[in-house]
Amino acid sequence: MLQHTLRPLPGRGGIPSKGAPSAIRLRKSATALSAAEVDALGFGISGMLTISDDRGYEYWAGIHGLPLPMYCTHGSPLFLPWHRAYLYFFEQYLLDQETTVSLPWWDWSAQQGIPDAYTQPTLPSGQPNPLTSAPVTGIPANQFAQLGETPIDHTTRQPGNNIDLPSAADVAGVLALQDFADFTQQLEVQLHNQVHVWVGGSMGEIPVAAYDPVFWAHHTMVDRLWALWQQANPGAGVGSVALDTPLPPFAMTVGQTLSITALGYQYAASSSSATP
Amino acid sequence: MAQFVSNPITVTLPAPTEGYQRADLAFHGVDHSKASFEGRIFFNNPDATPTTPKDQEHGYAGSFWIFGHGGCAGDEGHCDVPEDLRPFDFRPEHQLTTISVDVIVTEALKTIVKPGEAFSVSVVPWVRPEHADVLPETLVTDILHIDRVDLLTYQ
Repeated sequence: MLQHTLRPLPGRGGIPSKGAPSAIRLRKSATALSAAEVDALGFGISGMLTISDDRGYEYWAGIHGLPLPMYCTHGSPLFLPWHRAYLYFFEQYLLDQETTVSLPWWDWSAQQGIPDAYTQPTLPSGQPNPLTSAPVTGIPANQFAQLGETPIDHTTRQPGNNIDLPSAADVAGVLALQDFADFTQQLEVQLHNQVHVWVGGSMGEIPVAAYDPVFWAHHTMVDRLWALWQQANPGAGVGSVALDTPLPPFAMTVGQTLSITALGYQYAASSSSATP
Repeated sequence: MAQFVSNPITVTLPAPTEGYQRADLAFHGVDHSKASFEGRIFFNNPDATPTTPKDQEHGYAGSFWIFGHGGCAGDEGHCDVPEDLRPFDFRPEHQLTTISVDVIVTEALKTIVKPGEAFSVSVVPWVRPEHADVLPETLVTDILHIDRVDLLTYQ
């Protein structure tokens, strides 16, 4: 069984300072990825899936739910900071496998269902697509038994009708809120939770949700909305949450999640650069 | 196949009389330990069921969604939320501590409810049938628990 432990960043006290500004990654929409980018994402996830230790896919999926302990934070103002830290560390291990990859976001408000990158049986390269479903092998049978559920060995989905996904107007309404406590509550309960329920299957329950590869695209969208809100409300912070609040099991505090640039990524709609 | 059985909860509240720009229903003490579900809110329709249309004609005022914990995977006592914390117990809050949920209902309140009159608020839990079919009955039965409902309006 994989064990979850605190994971300090050696020698850096948990402060994500590595990398020059030019190394900042652009997280893109899952529907805007090129064939090469979908391949890279698939290869990265495949690489993580082959690792059974604490660099592997199942280890990171398990941090959110089973095997115990469950670390995810919901129904609290720590929801957004905790999941930003989660995505950050997951992406680092993904980058260890595929250096050109970034976590893409699934804009469910387009109401077009799960992006093709996560549903097509093969990657553009022709290899089996690991983004459609992932194995669930590291959860002790007794923990499934306590739930009264039959153990699963792969993630499943039962998506609803596209029209039942949150709309662009729903997103705009949440982004218009100006108080952090108000914003995070509505983003979590009205949008984030709704999408988990909509995807159904493994995504519909906390214990195994993060094993589904589309979990990461969903939460990258949630993180993107927080980033957009931060951009529109500079200095709004995180309400009454103390910035030095830790986010276990990650060696990161709430304050260290506030700047995505400091974490090495952006959500810009486009980017370009030139050298003289 | 599990049988989804969970009764709605209905409370009665006084409607505000003065003008307001925003109205929130705040549900406190919401349980999230079982299956994921949608809590459908209806005004002045205490007979609403999971098949009641989600439109204002039937008093539909909005929904909240609960991302359920899916039961308890630990041994006996693992999911018991402590009622009192010992001094110097700095462990994180128990994950099954009930939560508060705010739903913005401004338009529905203005449209469906007459100012100053008492009105009923019914919350109808709805578990996706595909989900209920594969979950143990204990996770989809009696899933709706709410300690208190507040109506908050803002000028």
